[in-house]
Parts: sequence; structure tokens; C-alpha cells
Amino acid sequence: MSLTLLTVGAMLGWLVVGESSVVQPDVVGMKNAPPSVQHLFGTDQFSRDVFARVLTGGAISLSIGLFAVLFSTVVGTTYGLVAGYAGGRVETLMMRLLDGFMSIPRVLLLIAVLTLWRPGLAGLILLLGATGWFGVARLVRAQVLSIRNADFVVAARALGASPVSMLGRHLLPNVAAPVIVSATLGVGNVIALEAGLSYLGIGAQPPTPSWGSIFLDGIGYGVSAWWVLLFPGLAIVATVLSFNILGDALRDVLDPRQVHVARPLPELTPELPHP
Amino acid sequence: MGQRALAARLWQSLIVVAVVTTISFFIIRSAPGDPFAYDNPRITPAIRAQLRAEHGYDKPLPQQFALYIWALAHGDLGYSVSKQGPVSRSIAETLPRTLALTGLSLVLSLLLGVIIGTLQAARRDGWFDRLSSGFLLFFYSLPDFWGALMALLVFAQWWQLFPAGGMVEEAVHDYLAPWPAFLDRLRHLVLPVASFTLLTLAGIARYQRAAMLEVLPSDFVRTARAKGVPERSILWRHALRTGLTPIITLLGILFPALLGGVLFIEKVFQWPGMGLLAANAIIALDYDLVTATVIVGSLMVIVGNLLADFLHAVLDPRVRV
Repeated sequence: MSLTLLTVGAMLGWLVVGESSVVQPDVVGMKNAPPSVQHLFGTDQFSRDVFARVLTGGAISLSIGLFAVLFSTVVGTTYGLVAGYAGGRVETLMMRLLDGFMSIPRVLLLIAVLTLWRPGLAGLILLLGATGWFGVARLVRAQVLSIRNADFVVAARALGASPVSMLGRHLLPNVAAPVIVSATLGVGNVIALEAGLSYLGIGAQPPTPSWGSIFLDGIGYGVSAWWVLLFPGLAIVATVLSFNILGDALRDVLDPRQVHVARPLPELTPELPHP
Repeated sequence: MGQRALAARLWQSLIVVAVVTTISFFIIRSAPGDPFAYDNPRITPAIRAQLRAEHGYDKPLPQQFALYIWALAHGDLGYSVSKQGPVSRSIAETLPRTLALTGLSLVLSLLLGVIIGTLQAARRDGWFDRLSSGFLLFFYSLPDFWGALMALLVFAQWWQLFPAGGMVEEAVHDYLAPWPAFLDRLRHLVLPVASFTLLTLAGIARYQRAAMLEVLPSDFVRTARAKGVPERSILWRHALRTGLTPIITLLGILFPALLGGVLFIEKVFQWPGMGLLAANAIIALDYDLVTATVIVGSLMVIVGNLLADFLHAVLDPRVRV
């Protein structure tokens, strides 16, 4: 599948191209050279090969996306499980707090924190994760509500299951399917978001090439260096598209309610549309 | 919605506003540095200290928070260091421009998205459904800023159909007659609105299609068909009314995303709205202005959600909570 191809491409690219993404062969003569056989995607303002940078950037963008979503999925699932299972005042309080978090525009918050604190790559991943779990939490809590009083839950409780085993062994497996789908869709989302932040100059910092930060070297040149803007963008679109298609496919497979309707149900897509 | 439910909903929103204000204030104020830490050899430490004292940055955080809330209660959003004026003035100046851009794009994309989604569901897996689904998924996967950037590159720089940015042609706009002046404004609106609409539309149409697919097999649709209601009227009057409610719920999720999107659109097209204001304020380390834009942005989301809830209650008689 295209996604596997992208991942393999990014990994291989990293091995093969390695250093050449930061090599500057001829800063004067090769500056902003258009695509050619030697440089498939042309070169940027520092004469670096854009193709090599796109391949290397892929490894960085993909890992940012995967780790951030892993983080937000774990936090969101835990929060949703606890809120849904606890019920009563605890639940009300937790959900109100969540409403508050959700009302803060994610992009504005990220920009503010990133600019004022200037954390490194790890910090960026953590922040992307920390601002991305609200939808998952809401989704999981809704799922838990629907099975909170199911017979098997009541039975497990009657048998004296501890809260931890209740959440982990009995409730978690039943909320896993939509969580997996939303995580898949989330990866594409985060990659696009990181690219946007890099475009504002606060994502992954140069010379580290994430797909977003490659742009920055072409932004001042517009049409005269269109290849620096086009190719990394196409890489992002291809990746996000792959994750979205994968997410849609997973939803069709994983959701038993979808036997007759082979397409997404509205309630199951927590995050929409762009960051 | 009954009066008590209404009051409860408003009260809830108020609590959310309080939570948001507190979170934004502490996140921004507890950051290292302050608006007066910039490099300027002509500003001595004494002047810095005086500036800090003047704007209350020398006090402990809780006290700063109390002062901020006190001022906020009196309608004072603080002082913008970069704009050299009250924050409320900058917000008042830029907010309408952002609302115009977002509102126009939202209305257009809702209209088009609902129509496209409904048509897709009506002829499921037909040629129109397949073709448009493919296109929509592509636009849905485009990062906002990149889509806008490509539009700018193609339609403003390479093929100079539209102006590259701004809200009016600065140099001549003030001297134009009313009609050309209006056209000038319109020309500047086309690219930002078109790209924003296209990017938002994709998500809406996907939802609408899914919602309609769920509604169409319902009993009431079959009943209508059995009664001999024309197919067109079944689709656009009977089914659509029910199929619209998920979209209204979607709006609640959509608003924060829209606000993030508009920031990138404004940045790319240099549209002088609140998004661009926020982006510039952050670069200038203008704390009060940043805090205010985050709070106002959240307020827009909260008000938007309230409106969506009311609309939901109006459209769906089952939800008279």
C-alpha cells in the first residue's frame, strides 16, 4: 500500500541519502536550480537537493505524527475511560474541563506556547500530543457510557473486579475499534499541522528537514522556485491521504454497525477536518 | 429549548469561558521572559524595570491574574506593546475582517457541502459519487496553508488573475469611485474565500454523505415513497431535514478548526484579520495581545457552539432538551 511505500521510502531514503540532505554542493551556481535528472526535485536556496530533503523530512514528519498521536491516544483513552466509568460529579467536572480545553483553538495555543518556550523536537511532539487528545477522550467516554451498564460490566463488578482491571480488561477492549480509527486519522492530521507550524517558522527547526520546514527555504522566491514549495507539499498530501484512506478502510472493517452501510458514520469521526 | 435548559446551557458556557481565560492567562504569562525582554541597547535595565512595573509584570503571577481579571471585568483587555495602543482597539479593528472571511466561506462551504453530500448519497457509487468523493478526499487531505499557498502561486503569481494579498489595493483604493472600489474589495476576497471554502467544504460533504446514507434507508423515507411522494421531494425535503442534524453537531467540532484554518489563510494572503494579528503578536512577544486573541478566539468557538445547539433544537424536534 501507498503508506507502506512512503514509510519504506522515508526509511530507505534516510539510509541512502543520509547526509546529502544537508550537503551544499555549490551555493552560488546551484542555488534554486530547477528539477533535472541529477536533482529530481531541484535544489533550494542553499543548493541542497530537495528530493533528498523530502525523503529525509519524511522520516521526521512521520515520527512526529506517530509519536504525538501515540501520546494523545494514551492520554485521551485513559481520561475518557476514567470519566465515563466514574460517573456522577467527577464525570461532570472532567467533562466541563474538557469543554474548556476544546474551546481553545489548538493552533493559537500551539503557536503561543511554541513561540514563548521554544522547546526542541521532543517538546514539539509532546505539545502536539498534549493538545490532540480531547476528541479521543470524548469519543471513549461516549463509548463507555453506552456499555457502562451492560450485563458483562455489572457481572465483572459483582465478581469484585478492581477498578484498574475493570477499565483495562473489560472496558478498554470494547472501545478499542473507534480509537484505532481516530488515531489513524489523527496521524495525518498532526503531520499536516506540524507542516503548518513549520511554515510559520515554529515547527521542527532548521537545518532539520521536516516536510514543513523545507518550504521555508522556498517561500521568499515564489514562482521562481516553485519546486521547493510543490514537492514537499505533495509528500504531505500523499501521506495524509494515505492515512485518511487507511482510517476509512479500518472503520469499515472494525465497526460491526457498518455491515450494511459501508461508509463512515458521523459520530465516529472525532476530529475534523483540518487542524 | 425550554427556559431552564437555556439558562443551564448559558451558565455552562460561562464556566467554560472562565476555564479558558484562566488556562490561557497562565500558559502565556508563566512563559520565560516578558514583553520587555527584547534586545535594544538603548533601553537600560532601569527603563526595563520601570516598563515592567508600569504594566504590572513585576508582581507575582497570582496578583497579575487578579489585576487582569479586574481589568477584564471592566472591559479592559490590556495594552498592546507592539501596536502601542489598547488591545481592544486592535481586536475591534481586525475581528470584523476575520468574521467576514470566515462567515462567507462557512456559508458557501455549508451550502455546497450539503448539496454535494446529498447528491452523492442519492446516487451512491454512481459516477458523480465516485468522482467527487475522490476529489473531496484529496482536498480534505490538503494542509490549509499549502492549499492556499498553491492557489496563490498559480492564480496570483504565475497566472496573474487576482491580487496576491491584502484586503484592498492600498495605493489607489481610497481614490476609487464607489463601484470600482467595491470591485477592488471583491477581487481581493476571491482567492482567500475560494481556498478556504474548498478546504472546509470537503469535510462537510463527507459528513453530509454519511448522514444521508444513514437516513435514506429509514422507515419514514419508505413510507413517503409508498405514499407516492416524488423522489426529488423525498430527498430534499423529507430525508434532508433529518440528515442535516449531524452537520449542525459537526459545526461544534468545526469552529476551532476553522479558527486555526483562518489563521493560515490570513497569513498566506496577508489578510489583515485577527489571525494575522495573532501570528504577528506572538512573534512580537506581545503578551496581552496574544492572551486576548486566544480568549476572543475561544469566545467565538463557544458562541458558535451555542448557536449550533439552538439551531439543532430548532431543526430536530427530538432534541428539545
